[in-house]
Amino acid sequence: MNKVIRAVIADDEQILRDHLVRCLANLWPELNICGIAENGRQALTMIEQYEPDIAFLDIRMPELTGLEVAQQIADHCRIVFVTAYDDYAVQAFEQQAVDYLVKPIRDERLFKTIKRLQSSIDIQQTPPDLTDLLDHLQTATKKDCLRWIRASYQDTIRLIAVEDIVYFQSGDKYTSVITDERELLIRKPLKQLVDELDPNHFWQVHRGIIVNVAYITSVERDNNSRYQIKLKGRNKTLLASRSHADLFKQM
Amino acid sequence: MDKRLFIPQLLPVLLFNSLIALFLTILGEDSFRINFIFSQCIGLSIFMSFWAMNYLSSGDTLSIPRILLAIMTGTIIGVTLGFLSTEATLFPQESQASKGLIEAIAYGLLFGVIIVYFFVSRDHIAKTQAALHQEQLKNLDNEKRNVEARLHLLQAQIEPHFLFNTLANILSLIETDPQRGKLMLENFIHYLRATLSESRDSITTLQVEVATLQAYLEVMKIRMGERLQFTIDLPTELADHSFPALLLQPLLENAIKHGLEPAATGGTIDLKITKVDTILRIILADTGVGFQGEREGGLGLANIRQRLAMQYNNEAKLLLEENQPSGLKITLEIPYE
Repeated sequence: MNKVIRAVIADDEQILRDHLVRCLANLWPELNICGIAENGRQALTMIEQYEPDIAFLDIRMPELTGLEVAQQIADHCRIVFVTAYDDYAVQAFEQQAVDYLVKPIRDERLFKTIKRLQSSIDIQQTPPDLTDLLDHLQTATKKDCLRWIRASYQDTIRLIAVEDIVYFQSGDKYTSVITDERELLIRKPLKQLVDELDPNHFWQVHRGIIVNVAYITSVERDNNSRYQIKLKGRNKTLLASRSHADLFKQM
Repeated sequence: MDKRLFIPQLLPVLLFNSLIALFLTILGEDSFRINFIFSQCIGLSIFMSFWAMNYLSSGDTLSIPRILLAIMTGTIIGVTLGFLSTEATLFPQESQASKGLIEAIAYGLLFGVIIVYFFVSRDHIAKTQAALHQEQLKNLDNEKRNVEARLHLLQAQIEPHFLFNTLANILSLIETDPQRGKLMLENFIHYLRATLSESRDSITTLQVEVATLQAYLEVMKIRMGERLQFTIDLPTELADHSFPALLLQPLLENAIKHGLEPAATGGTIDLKITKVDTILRIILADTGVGFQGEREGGLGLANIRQRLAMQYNNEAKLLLEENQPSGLKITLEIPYE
């Protein structure tokens, strides 16, 4: 080995950065740590600038996560993910033989990782392509349903948890958000809300109405075969249109 | 009444009408043919006026005056129809005609009331049973929610990221700064003891609750360094006031996890507890990233609302606002009891 092997370390907690630096100094004194980053963006800049052989990336970091950094540097260097607990990611790393360390980092485990890194650099193996794995992990963490609605009320922006919303009603320009306490207006159209809300908890019962199922007390058919929806603590009933009545057919 | 019930109800009506005709014939009132025509006319007219009345009142349960009106109208129409279709064969003399008319109306009203009573009470029983069923379902649903809430509480007790990152810090500090390591461990133990306590559903005091929050913040302060600043303001006269144990803990953890940790430069957390008239107001404000993208967070909020609802019968308020210039401001108001 005539070439000096260089590494970048990234973690948002100083004590943990220092710890990893110390451990590496003990177990791999020849390693040159050329950059220590405090967040994802810094890590990306340093990796692009120094072109290290190895990057130790914490997964949860401000600005960019370790996974996002890895996605952008492609196969330019070998990546070792460091995480306190990311069940889904660790399972994926295990399956795909990706290097990773769990915090608190143990010397034996770090030593094994070092040996693997050294041998793969020795035989000049190109770093594995992680694109598919990272894309998969990214989508797995981002498909959550809408949980908050931002609405301006008087001079502040209110955040309303969707579970507190009784129903949405579309208007000319705005969408009304009806909660137990008040009615607010938002710009987001009903069509978009339908896609973003959890379909198990919010049903579109009419072209212009999405109702929170938790607030429905009963549904009755009237003489014209329309469904009248009664709501918890309210006198007003909502009317389900014929085309959306399928929701209640099984009831 | 439901449209689908029209045919199923029509058949018993026809049967009843025939039975009445038979009954009257046995009593010696006219021939079976005449009785049959009359009772069908009257019965069907009452039935039809009921449906008409129902249609006009758009499905609501009929009131007693409306029921009586339907019977009267139906009887008069029915008797008229009966006379029209049997006129030739009945009542050759004037005096007999008025006697027959009164008799027909009397029978019509009598049987009308009996049969309508039968249908109305049957409808009523069905509705009562449906309501009872609904009530049972609701109770089951509530019970399910309670169990779920408890389960979530148990699962949310200690966030694994917090646990392992804290342990990693302590492990490192043992080598480099044992004094700080010891302090961190002590605060961590304080937090663990409070969080894992069996009595986490119980009532504690504001002082105890705030001490737990402080222990958590001290742990986070060592981890985040300059990236975390915090203030806690609890007036001494409120210190011994009762408060639901660990109610604020998830809100604080959210503020750190979703507010400050994702911010490269960190931020400030300010907890302020005040008494305003008969209300205890708690404001938890952070200057973190706020709820970017609307899609994150919400964890534990449902639990808090449920606990508030159980404890204070919907007299508690939990309000979330955007903090200025950034971050999230949570205001919790509960009755000062």
